[in-house]
Amino acid sequence: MSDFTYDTGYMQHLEQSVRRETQGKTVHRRRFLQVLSALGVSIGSLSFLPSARAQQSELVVANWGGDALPAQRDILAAEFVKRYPQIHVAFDTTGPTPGKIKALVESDNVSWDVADRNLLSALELGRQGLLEKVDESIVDINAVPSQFRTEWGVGSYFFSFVITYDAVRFGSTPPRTWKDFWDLQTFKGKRALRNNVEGVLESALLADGVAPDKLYPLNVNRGLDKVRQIKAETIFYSNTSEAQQLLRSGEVSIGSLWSTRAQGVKEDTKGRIDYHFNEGILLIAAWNVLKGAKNVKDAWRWVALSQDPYLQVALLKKLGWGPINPAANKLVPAELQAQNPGSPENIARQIVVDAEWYARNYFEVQNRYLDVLAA
Amino acid sequence: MILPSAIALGREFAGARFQIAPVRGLSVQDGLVIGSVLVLIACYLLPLGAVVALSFLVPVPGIGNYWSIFQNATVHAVVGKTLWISSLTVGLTLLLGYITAYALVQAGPVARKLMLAGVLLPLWISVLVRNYAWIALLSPGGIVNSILIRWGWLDQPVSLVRNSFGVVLGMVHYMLPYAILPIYAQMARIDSTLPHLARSLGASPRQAFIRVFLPLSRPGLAAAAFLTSIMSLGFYLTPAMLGGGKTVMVAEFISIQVTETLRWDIATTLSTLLLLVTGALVWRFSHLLELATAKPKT
Repeated sequence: MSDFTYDTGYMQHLEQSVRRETQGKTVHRRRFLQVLSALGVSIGSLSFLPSARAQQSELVVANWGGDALPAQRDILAAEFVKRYPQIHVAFDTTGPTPGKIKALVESDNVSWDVADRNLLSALELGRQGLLEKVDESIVDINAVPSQFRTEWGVGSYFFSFVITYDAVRFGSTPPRTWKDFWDLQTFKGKRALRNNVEGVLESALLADGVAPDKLYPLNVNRGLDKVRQIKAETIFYSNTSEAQQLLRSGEVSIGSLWSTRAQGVKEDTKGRIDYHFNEGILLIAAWNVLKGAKNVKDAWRWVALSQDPYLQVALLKKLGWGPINPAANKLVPAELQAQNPGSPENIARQIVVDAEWYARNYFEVQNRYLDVLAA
Repeated sequence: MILPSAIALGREFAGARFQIAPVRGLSVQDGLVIGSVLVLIACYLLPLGAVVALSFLVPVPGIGNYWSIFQNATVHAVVGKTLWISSLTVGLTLLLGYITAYALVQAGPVARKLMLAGVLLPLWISVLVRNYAWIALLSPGGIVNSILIRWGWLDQPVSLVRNSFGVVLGMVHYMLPYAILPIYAQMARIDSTLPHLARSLGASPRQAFIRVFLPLSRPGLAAAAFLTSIMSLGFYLTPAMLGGGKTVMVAEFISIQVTETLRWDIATTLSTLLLLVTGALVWRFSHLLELATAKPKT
């Protein structure tokens, strides 16, 4: 036995990846254990997954994978490690859905520190006690205008739902507005909308003639009725790469896509698919720090770092993330301003989503939207 | 020299690590059985129990979730859609499966082997791949539409996927082997002289089929109906991919409640009900499967 050694590093790695993979499944452990103890069952034997990470000095960033991974790794993580060499930055690209965040926090096994989400999620999840409050000793909250921050998160970049269309098909008369998007007679072909209600109601109400400054509070019934009008001709996608593919293959002639992904499909197709920011629905991304995360301090350091104007411009170049720090806007090269959702000209053409309205209504309205789709 | 020491090491390692080495009174087989039961409990029954428990505990303890789910209009719509799509799928699968199984029984040995291979082959292809194949074939710019337009049979491409039609097609394709095999197994057991005897006694071909062959093949049909119904109710990937977002069935609805809207009360309650329904089906009809595989009575 003495000459038999096994590689402990490898075992640790294995253990870590197993733990990472099973996070989704260890979900409601705390609740479950409470249930069991209420039933008088001994629970000592149930912690079959080691509870703490091997390395305390690790920062785990949860993002959505795809293009976001190399960009965040090369721009944000590279700079972070330069400033804090003792910290190792790891990425989890399985997608920080609200469900997983709730599961991690409630199971007391918070293996993510900071998640790439948005401002309305900061409000929704923050109010449910699932997020840490912004540590103002680390993050300069004044780096972003006050309407772009909340108690639980500070805006990190702009992105928007934009009208994305087949430029070859529509030639010199492309769809300019949501009214055009809803006009199936003039603009032939199928439509693509996200199966998540965020941004869809705004588009529908604008198409129905509601003035941009009268949108909020959203008239849900009116918006859903408008969605019903084009439902038969619309494909409701669940992830954006699906929508990109629908446009690329010509299955859909106009879609509502995130500007970041619209830019991607425009480059892929050499301009055959195009988009513009007119009547774009502007959303504010925000890093969310999970309640009880192992490394809260470094998570806020990560957030503070992401406000750096130079890094914001680099991320615009690489991912189309619109800089939210006004200081960054002066640094944006003129040729990038056209694809910057946060440039002053583009902001003026768009509608800013009211995170507060969604934080109060999202759960109910999302299910009503599903109701319309499934009917 | 190396081999014996490797065996010794292996034995020592296995004994120390996994306790497979014979313990007094327990054989290796016992150990394996106990091990797999423990794995089942830890990875399957406990999480499942947690789901059931949560449905009675969040947001407040009691049976309120069950009360409110019966009054929830969205749930009604989703359950209605699920039942409708599932019954369509089961009906079509049984019809096509019965015809195929009948052809299999009638076929010569070589043809039968080829046909069985054709039935079994799709079982080894991931449902994900099959869904993408359907999209490539049937989407408006896909192969089928292009051919039909080129031949002048169509002016405009028709939507064959991203709607309920696509979902039913994808699901029937997935279910077919599960229907064909039990029906075929039952039909193969029917004494092939019986329909002939019926004919010689004056029955028309139709009567011989309906009065003699069909009743004898019914257990296989029932087993197929049972299998495909249970699978249809919980189908997730195919409706999500081929339904264009408009065919929201129970499984996808549950997943949205878990990950997006955080309504774990709805998700766990609906999961528990789905579990109950499929459990009841299994409890009531599982004897059909045994019947279908049992030896024929002589």
